[in-house]
Amino acid sequence: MTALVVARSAAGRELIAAARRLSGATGDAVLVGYVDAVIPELTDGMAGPGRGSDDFAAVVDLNAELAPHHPAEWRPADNELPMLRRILCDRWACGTVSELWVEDLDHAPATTIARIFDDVEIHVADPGLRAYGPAGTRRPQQLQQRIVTLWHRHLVPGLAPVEPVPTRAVATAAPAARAGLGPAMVIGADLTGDDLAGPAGEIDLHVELLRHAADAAAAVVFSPHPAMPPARRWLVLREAGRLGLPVRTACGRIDDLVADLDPALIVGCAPAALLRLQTAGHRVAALGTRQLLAASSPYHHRGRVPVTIVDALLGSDRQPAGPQELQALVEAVTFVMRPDGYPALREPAARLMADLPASLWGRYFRRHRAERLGLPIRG
Amino acid sequence: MPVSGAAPRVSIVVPGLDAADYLGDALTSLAGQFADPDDLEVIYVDDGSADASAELAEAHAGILGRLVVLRNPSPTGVSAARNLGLARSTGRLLGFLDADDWLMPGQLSALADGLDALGCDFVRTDVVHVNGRDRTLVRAPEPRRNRVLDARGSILPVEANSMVDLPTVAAGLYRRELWEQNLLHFDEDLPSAEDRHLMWRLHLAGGSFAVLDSPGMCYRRGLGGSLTQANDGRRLGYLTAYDRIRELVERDVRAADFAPKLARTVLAITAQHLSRDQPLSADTGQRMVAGAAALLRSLPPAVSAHQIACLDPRRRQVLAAVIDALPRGWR
Repeated sequence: MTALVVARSAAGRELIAAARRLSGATGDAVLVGYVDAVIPELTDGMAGPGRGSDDFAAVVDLNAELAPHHPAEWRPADNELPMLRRILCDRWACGTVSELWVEDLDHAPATTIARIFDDVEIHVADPGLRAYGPAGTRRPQQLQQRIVTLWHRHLVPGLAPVEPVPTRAVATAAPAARAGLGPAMVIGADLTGDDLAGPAGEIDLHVELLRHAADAAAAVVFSPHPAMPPARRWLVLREAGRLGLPVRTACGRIDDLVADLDPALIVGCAPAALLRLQTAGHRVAALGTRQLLAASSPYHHRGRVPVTIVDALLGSDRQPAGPQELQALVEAVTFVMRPDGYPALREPAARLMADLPASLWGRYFRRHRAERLGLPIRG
Repeated sequence: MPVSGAAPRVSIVVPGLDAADYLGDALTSLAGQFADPDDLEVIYVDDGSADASAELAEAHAGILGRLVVLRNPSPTGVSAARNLGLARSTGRLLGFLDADDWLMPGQLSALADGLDALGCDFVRTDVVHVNGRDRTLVRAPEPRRNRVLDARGSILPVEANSMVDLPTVAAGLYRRELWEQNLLHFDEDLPSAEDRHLMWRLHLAGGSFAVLDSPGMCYRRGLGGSLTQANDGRRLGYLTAYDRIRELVERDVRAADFAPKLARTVLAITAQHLSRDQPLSADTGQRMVAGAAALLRSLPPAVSAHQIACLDPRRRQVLAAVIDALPRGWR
């Protein structure tokens, strides 16, 4: 009896390993790891899938299995699935697959592997803020009915995921804040990979982050997103150099860097890490969240809920949302994103949208869409 | 950049114009292609960029063992830029990479090892078309792989794609002797399709070559500035290139066999342009129709007439204006 684990990030692998321990799982797990960057071949991430393999009996590099194709575009025809199952069971030595653990059930390759192993129970374990929002696509019944548990990290105290499946939170650790005497730190984002900006926009926003960080401390440490192409990193640093910002780059795990640097301020666009670190007592700032909300197009863009949460808690020029307000906001945004999937959220969404001050309404909702859905419009 | 010691095994020429958004991907993909970094010489020819491309290239000196950066003060065109790079190259084997494309790890060593092991004049391989995360493997149209072939033997058939219809020069590696024999020069007069002209020349010259399996040469599609999306006079460039190819074919002892291929390709490319989603301007459209008709008229009448008779009804409709512009014997 083997568990098949389909994960793309270190955080995902860690969450799944922790969740399996919590659920009392005993059998072996085979990790099917993949790098989802637009150009996986040019990231350091290729080394990623194998890491932390103490938790896994075997590791499969899915990018290599599918080369030259990208894992995100692996969508074999239905006819091929039975044969693929036999071939992969053999090749990945996974024998009888008893459970499937996936980080992202709404996109290939996890969807594809769930289609291939079409009678196996599914655990979804999303380490990011998307876990709180709606499913990314309208899921086929064939997948939805097999979900046993949605595991998520306990990133936002008081916020509960909206998906109508059993959920369980796994506690997250973060390095405790100290005196904050170190440099300011910037956590980079993969805005092009997430379809939130083009190359130029991604560079501009990163420079903005660095500029903001430089105002808070004498030195700035930039931790680029692993998926950021090396050239773009270079262009960001070049622009920072032109502006005379005292920036140096450091790669590695965010938590290790924070523990090491004792940062005076941690700046990012909308990473979940900001919320974790804030809870641990660090000074954090989120920049550009309004811009990213505007760029989340179409409205049901996969990045919308994470950006909404970070904006509501850390966004500039607004009061941080309280727990109830945040829950109501996430539910309303969920309904507007996927009205078909969450009909029960219509009433609460309508209430929130009627009550929201006009300035906030325009931040989180779009007039056309509200009109089409018959929801209250403000401002 | 001063480089000492023996000549490198491979030189790759990278022309670039305002390529800062992507050039770093290309150069990063070149690093680590060989176990010994001295095996590879990279020649970046900056063709008059207004952006930071040249500076960006220089910043890669640390990861590329042998990097030469040449700067043209103003744009000279991709053919001239490639020729300039070739003239400065010192490698035993020569190749190309456009600034917006990249190579999979192990690509160059696979091609160089294959070329050296087979001892042929050049090798060619497949192309991976990339649009975001979407990729399509475009197989080199030659099923006989990993063995030495006569380059002239892969020009035909007429009815299907052959190696002269795969113009991507970056999906290959070429012996330095070909440059010395004037077979790797790009025609600087051609506004586009210079790579198609080069491939015809190379294959007509009759050396030996092989098609190799390899990790992958990635060709980025869907960029706004690329020719495939351009909608102006540059789209007529293929007519000039195929006219030059016609001159080569006419002088060939097998002109009668190759001319039908030429007629068919010109009809196919013209049909593609005329049926594209973004229509040509009226003026460009008229010039394209006239140019294609003139090219067909310069071929033997029977060749043109036969290829037109072979058109399927849809293409025949798209090409109606071209066909109407031909004298009776040619259609």
